[in-house]
Amino acid sequence: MTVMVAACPSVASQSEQREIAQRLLGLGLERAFGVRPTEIELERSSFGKPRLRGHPEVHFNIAHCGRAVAVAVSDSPVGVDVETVRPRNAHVAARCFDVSERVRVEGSDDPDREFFRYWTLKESYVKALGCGLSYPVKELHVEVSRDGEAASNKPGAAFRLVEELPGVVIGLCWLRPADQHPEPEVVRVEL
Amino acid sequence: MNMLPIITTVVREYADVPESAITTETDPLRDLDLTSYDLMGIIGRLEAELGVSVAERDIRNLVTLGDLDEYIKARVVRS
Repeated sequence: MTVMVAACPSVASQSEQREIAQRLLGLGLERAFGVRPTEIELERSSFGKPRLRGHPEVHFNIAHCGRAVAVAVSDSPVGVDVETVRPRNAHVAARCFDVSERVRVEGSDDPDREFFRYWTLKESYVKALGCGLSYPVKELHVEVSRDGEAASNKPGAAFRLVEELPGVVIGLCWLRPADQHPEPEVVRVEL
Repeated sequence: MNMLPIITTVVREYADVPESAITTETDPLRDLDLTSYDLMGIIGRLEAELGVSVAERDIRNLVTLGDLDEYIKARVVRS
């Protein structure tokens, strides 16, 4: 499991974010699987999740926001989400977080950052499943410890938070048996 | 009751576009570059304002704002 992350030099437009994501994807696929840029041909699953044509063993996922881009590459289904820390949205919390998650967010020293820790972890799980917005996210219960370790009620899923970029939270989820969760390699790319 | 004006107002809090750019054909993810986070915020806000509930299993089928308008109208009338 390799995660390529990059901070955008300034607040990037959607097209700039997509260009950076393509670059990181190329770097990540070559690093983790030896796939050369000329071999990269993408297609979409029925749920719209992009995948690499001709390489069923390769799983990847892309996320971007105005401040950062993240690309996760893995040999098992993977999801990644990246969000700029900003004022939290109470409607999203009410819809997507259970009571104990909301209590943990509001009781945190930095509720906005904590909110986006929970959100990105949940979103990364949904993206790893590849089922889009139809997944009932309240069924996924997440707990983030004080030292940033993330756990859930889904034994087949591993979660990590990546918070080395300023003002940005990256949530990461990959699906594989509970005893096979090696630490992901995080590679920061300077643009 | 036409819900589109209310939906348009809420959507414009997330997307910096003129009112004229929002129609029943608008796909908020494709046409307005909104994210799933934005969409959860919009739906959550509409649920709170209009007293309706949008089931997760139905969200995937709500592709355009017209779909969302029809979905909410049916539930407001019912309640």
